[in-house]
Amino acid sequence: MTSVLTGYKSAALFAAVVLFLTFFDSLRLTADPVVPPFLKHILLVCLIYSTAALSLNFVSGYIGQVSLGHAAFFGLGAYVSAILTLVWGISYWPAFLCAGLVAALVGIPLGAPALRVRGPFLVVVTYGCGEVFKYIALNLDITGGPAGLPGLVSPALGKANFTDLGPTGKEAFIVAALALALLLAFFTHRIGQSRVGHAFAAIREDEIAAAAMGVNVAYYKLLAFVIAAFFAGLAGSLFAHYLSFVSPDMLSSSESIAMLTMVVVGGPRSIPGAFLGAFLLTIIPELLRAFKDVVGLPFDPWLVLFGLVLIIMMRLRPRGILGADTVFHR
Amino acid sequence: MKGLCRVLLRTEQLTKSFGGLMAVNAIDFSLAPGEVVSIIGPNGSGKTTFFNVLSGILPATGGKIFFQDRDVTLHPAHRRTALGMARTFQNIRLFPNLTARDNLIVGRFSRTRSGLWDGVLRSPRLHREERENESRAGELLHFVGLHPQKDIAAKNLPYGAQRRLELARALACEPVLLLLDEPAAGMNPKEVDELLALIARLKGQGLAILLIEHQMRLVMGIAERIVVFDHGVKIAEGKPEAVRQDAKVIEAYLGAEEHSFVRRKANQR
Repeated sequence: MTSVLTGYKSAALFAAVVLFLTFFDSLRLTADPVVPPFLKHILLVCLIYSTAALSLNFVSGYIGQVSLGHAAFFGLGAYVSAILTLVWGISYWPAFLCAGLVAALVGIPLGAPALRVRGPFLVVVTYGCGEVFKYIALNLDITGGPAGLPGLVSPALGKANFTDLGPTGKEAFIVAALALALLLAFFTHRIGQSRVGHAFAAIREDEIAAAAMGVNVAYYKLLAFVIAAFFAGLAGSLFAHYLSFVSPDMLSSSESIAMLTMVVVGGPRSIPGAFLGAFLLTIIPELLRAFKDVVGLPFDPWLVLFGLVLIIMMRLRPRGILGADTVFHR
Repeated sequence: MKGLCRVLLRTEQLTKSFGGLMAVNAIDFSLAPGEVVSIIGPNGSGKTTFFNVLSGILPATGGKIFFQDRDVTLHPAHRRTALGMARTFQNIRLFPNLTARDNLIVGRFSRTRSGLWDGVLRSPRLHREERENESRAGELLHFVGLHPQKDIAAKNLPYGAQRRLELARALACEPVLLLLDEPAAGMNPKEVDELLALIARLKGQGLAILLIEHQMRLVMGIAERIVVFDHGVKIAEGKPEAVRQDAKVIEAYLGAEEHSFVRRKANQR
């Protein structure tokens, strides 16, 4: 099953399906549009979270450290590009790149002490970092406080804003999010096979033996953390400018937990697994929310199911749905 | 260059304490290039701690370590490996989920240079290093007789094979000094003989070996010099035959009191 899903062919197939859904109505094969804007919205959210899950995979998959603060980098990227474009009037794409770079830079001082601890201690430290970010965003003027920053500019292609391209204004965002996710998937795939990937595997398996084999454990752990922060920052930035809005909710611990759950459910170190986890954990809550509205439940059933899903996965298939059997993937 | 230093490894008053316990107490020790030395001593005498401080797994509390005329006391473990020091562990520390072959490829880490972008772009350097890794891992698998099991995860190998794989992984680091921590632990006599033959071949290749071992067959068969530890202190040092007769060594192993007790017991029978 896994072999069918890996490789460039399946990536191309995946991209084709996404692009088909996105541009089906532009082909004008039917009299009226058949793909509702809501579906395109979900598709975009899925792709953004695929990038977030793939990036978290570097920390929680490759070096095997549980991080519960990944949304901090996601939200940081969002705030950085929001502030750069709103306050300093920089155009979107340089701000997008800065979002990733700032997240990566902040990842260095955060990661260096955090990665000296492991297991439950690291969970507490990363969770704490995430909360600190949230309270900073809630209290600073430049971040707009609890209300966040509305009215973010749209990314542009040449002179045309993304929001003006395509019938629903979401198409260009989907293409950009797809490109980002596939780029990161490619990057992850290549790194996993390389000498750096071997260092990650060695650290995950046995840190002391890794050090004895010449692996600079602190450096490679930090490298994984910084790569994760960089791509999370990019994904967060794109998401904020799609929503044209950033709020402290993007930094919340429930976002971090959701990202970690995507990695765990999809399968740590599995690239298709990260996509699967992100899609499942985005689509299922949406379906359940619709179900709640139809039936008139007083609570969101997802919140109950969420914990159950985690327990069942940990119990029955700790390596996730598409978790790799082998450790160096080739 | 490496062959030219008269002393490969030297410690000066090397000390490691855990709280009030002096696990390694002011050890002066030296090892010549190509020399095979065995450290023996009762359990808890500080042999493994000495190894851990030498290899950089534990920081020294006091004293200095010189490796190839370079002060490496403050070097982290990975730098000492890069300089040519490789080790095995008393309780096997292979990468359990990696195959035998991949364990060796990680062992080659300090002899390869490819970075992040070499990996992403699959540069010529990465390709060349992959080929080198592949052929070197193959040779080492043949050397320790594990070639047929190369694709088996380390944790699924039998115990003796894991020991040999750990030796091969240390050799993959291309060391000039090999630190072996009880390589024969839990091995049967036949396996000990095979290991003895392997170590003799390495010695023949000019590799310096520092060996912690309890199996006297192995120690007497290979060591040119023996160092005896007790309670973190070096109590004797010399040729195997001389150390065997040393009163302090006999006392450390059997205890002065128990020693006479054993004799009494024997007399009663």
